[in-house]
Amino acid sequence: MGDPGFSLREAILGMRRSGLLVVAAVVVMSLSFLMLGLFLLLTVNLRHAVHLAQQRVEISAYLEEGVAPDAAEALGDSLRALPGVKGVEWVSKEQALERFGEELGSDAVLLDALEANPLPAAYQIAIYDDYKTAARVAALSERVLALGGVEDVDSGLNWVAQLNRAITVVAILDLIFGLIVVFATVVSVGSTIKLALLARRETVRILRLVGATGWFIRSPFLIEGALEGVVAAGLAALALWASYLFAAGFLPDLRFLSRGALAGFVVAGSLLGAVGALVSVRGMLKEEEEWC
Amino acid sequence: MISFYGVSKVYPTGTVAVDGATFHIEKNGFVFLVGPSGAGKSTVLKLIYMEESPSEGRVVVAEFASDRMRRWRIPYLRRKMGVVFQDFRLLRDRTAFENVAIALRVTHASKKRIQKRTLASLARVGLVHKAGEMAWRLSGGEQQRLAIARAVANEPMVVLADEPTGNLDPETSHGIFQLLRDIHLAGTAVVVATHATDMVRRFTGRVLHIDRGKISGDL
Repeated sequence: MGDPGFSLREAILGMRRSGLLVVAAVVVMSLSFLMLGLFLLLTVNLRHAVHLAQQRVEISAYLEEGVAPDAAEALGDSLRALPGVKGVEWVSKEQALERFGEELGSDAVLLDALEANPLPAAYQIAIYDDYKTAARVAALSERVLALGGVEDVDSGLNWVAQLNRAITVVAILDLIFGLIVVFATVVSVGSTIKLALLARRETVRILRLVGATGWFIRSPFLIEGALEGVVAAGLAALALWASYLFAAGFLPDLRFLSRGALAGFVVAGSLLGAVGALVSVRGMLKEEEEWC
Repeated sequence: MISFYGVSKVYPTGTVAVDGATFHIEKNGFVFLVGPSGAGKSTVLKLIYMEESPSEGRVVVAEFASDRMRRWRIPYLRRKMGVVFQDFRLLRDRTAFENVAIALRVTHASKKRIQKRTLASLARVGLVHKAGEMAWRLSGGEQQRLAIARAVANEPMVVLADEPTGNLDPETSHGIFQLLRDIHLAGTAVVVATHATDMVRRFTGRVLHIDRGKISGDL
């Protein structure tokens, strides 16, 4: 590697010389990092929502009309005996209507128009956490439905499954935006480094003449690329934080990226910047063999 | 120290720049390579600092041989020599100090050594009082002396000068030749490629003639 102080001074000098092009490259990189960040944020929050939904998963076993109280009680015992069942709560037809009324709020007056209570009595079945997987809940629901007196079951698992599908789609988008970030960074940094190389063509020639190694010549350009990447990722992180604060005003439960993920974001910026510079420098120096 | 064994250099255009050259330059040698423009003088120097590799034959400089030379070793060869050009090849937007110091920085010398060797080299060419001056503000003669200071900063085994006085007036040119002569007297080999035959007559040294790539003279 080159002399770190010298390389840093040369990198800053190079950036000052390229001026507007460096600004344009940093803006392009920042925007692509911001897009990636927004999708990562969406992924984090969807995962959190799925986790919360899974925590709340319960099975409702709706009873057939006219099941005798003894039979209902026996059914409750059978349900308690099933593996994975933490507890059961009896919800009579009246209680079901009452709860529905509470959910309707001011619209509950509509229920007064009903001649009879159409809601079935039910058992709310709480299940253990390790039974809250899609397969286990589905299997348990099947067993509940097979018991006499149960007309229908509902676990709310369909909703969780839909959220899981959404997570898969967003994860694919994360990957696509990740690739766009790689491409945008390598191309943007590459163009600034090409300009810096052209501006420093004579310096490179002199450095080779006095016995500088390839790494000594390359290191200022790598530092320049890394600095541009860090600044771009840092700006994107700030914009992401501002977007989060804005959105959190409407969605108070919104989560932000962890500190580790943010640090990874900035580290990725510097690495991608350095890689972009390295690709550009290698290509240019190979093209200009007469410099050596 | 420098040996050419049947060296030829033919460029891709078909131009024969050096044609079957065999000669040796000893440690402490002071050699003029004389010939008209386009005779192949610069190519001989390029073969010595290995910017070009021979099409035929073999160039050996100290422990470095052209036929066994790996590309990554070239910088280490160049640290053992200083090269001076007609167009000076200075970092115009840097100070005189920085122009000399760069030759030491690439070797990862300590700050103390960089300071000491740079000032000593500038003193050697009479430019220590202009250490803080930007290179582009120096006169032609001063710029060439600065290039010589850079060439000797690493205490090289040989200084190669390619038409070092091509852009200078006769009086300044004489000063440059005198400086190269002093460097030689202090124990460094010097090879000067020039077509300034009047200067060559004034300074005693071994003379190699080159014309259309063929070398003759005091082989």
